[in-house]
Amino acid sequence: MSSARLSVSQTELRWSALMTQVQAGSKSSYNTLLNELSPFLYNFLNKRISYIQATDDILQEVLINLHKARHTYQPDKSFRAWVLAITRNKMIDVIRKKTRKEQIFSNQGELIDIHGADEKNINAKNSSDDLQKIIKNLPQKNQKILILAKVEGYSITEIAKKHNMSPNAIKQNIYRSLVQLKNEVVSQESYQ
Amino acid sequence: MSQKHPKSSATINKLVDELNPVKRIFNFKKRFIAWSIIHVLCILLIMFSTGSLRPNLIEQIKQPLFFLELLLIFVSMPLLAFLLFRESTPHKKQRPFKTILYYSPFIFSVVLISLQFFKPQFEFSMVGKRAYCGFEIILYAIPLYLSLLYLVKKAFPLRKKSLSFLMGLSASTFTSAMMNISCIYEVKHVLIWHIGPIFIVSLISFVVGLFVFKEKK
Repeated sequence: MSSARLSVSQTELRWSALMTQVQAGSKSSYNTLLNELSPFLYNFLNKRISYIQATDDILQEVLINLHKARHTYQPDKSFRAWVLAITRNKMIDVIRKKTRKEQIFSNQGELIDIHGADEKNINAKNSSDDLQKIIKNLPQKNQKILILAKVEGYSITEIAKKHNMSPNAIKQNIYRSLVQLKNEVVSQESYQ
Repeated sequence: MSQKHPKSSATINKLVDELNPVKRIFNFKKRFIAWSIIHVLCILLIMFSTGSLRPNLIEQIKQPLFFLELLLIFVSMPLLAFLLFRESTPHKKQRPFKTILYYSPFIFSVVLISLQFFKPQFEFSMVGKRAYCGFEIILYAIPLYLSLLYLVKKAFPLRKKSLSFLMGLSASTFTSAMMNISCIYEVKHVLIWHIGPIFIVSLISFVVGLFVFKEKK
């Protein structure tokens, strides 16, 4: 057995022992376990999800779920498999929720077409400078609404209140802006 | 590995503060065995106290196809319940092929019954008719389903939709199999009144599961 594999199994045994103590109510073990687990889970999630904001959010939810599910861990079973099952499930859940929205902006400013139609084209254009230039082509009001919704994370209702508009009008406005952005990104891509 | 995540450290502190000792739930195999034994005993007790096996069953069971079909439907309950209890706690990801294997006896038994539309095994007979067989299956499934709901909710189910459906299947398949050996055996009757209730219970179970397992925000 290689030394790397040996250390992985030793870590797992250690985590398993800590979890058993957690089930008995040891707060110090819990603190150690969660502090050791979170970078591991962060890396696991980060490899699978490109946008950092989502990774952070999913990690919070995974930690909460681990807390809720702590009574289901069996010391004779693999700790890693148990943790990763919860993590993977939460990750899929969050991604599914996000896919319901048509498109999302990550806080890095890259436009991701969730339906995947032009994902390759758009991802190639993920430079935030280029994107900012394109956003500036939008009417002032549309720019503000889009940034509030997709960058600053305001809800549709909150934006509607701010602009004295109906939520439906805000949704339409965002949709039109996204379509316009997408077309511009694609057209710029074809010029290049 | 040594990145700092301010958000997660706040969450960790909160979770550590809230930590209480918990009683570990029983291994899923123990829960499965206990539930299945109680399930089978209860159904056998109810079925034999309200009626008996079909008088011509011994002759019918000599038919290989009928025997196979019975075997499959009787085997499907423990398999479906095993899958249900296994899936009720987080565990190593199972291959889809393996999951299909657990469902396959039930699917094959339904297929074998349906095939008799084209070539019936037995002549039409009303021997052993139970007046309310379909309703009995639904009625007996209710306490079994509720017990499953309690046990599954107490664990930590991850795939909630498929589990909700599976709970209904597990709670009603054995009673349906018992009906196949005690009530009349005629394809249309079996499909509508013995197999149909399984799907009704499963659909109700699916809908109930959607509400019961809905995550609180």
